[in-house]
Amino acid sequence: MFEREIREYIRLISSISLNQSGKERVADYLIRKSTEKKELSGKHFAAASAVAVVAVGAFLVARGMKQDINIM
Amino acid sequence: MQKQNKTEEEIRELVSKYSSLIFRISYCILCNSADAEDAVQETFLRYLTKAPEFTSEEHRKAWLIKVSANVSKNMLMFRLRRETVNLEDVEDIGIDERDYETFELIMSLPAKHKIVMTLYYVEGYKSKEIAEIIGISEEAVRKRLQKGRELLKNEIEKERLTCLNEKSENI
Repeated sequence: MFEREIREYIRLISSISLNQSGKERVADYLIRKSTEKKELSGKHFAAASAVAVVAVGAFLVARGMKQDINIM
Repeated sequence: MQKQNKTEEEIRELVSKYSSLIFRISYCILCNSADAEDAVQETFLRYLTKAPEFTSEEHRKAWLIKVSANVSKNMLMFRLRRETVNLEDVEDIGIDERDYETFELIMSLPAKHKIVMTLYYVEGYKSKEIAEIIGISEEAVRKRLQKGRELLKNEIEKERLTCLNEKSENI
């Protein structure tokens, strides 16, 4: 069996807990962060897709112009 | 590394299951409920973005404890002055008013002793497990436990004697 001081330590430290409003604040914060992250990932994907489309388009235009020059 | 895409429900369940444990560890280091709550948030944020694959629930728990201890120690490093327990917010964290004095004494112990004592006596980990969690040798864990017990005993004994002296003076 533990000494009295250790028993007091166990009793008091075990009592420490985050209250309900604190748990809700933490959960709300994490949910908000999680949502922001998903939105940002979506925006990055859209931006990357737009860049890819523009690049392919530019390539096709350049190729078309090169063919025109060759014909002339 | 596994990125955790959790639903709102899963996040609330995670917080419900582990927040008090992480808060307890953080509070032992920071002695302040607002800072401890920030440490809890940061720990869970790292869990959601950087946690590895866990082999078991015990593995997950140990990882959370390790991260919360590291987050709290980093916060402590950046604090300009040593904070003592604010007795006004102690009731909010589950401590009865009658225990304030003893609680204040316990919180005055150095953080490194409180972490090992909490993991050993309160959370039930063995010395070897504590050594792995916090990244020190098993020998260092045993020494910190021993020293922590001595300091705790001395502080409580001193307080008892002070109370006895005050009572005898009042007679």
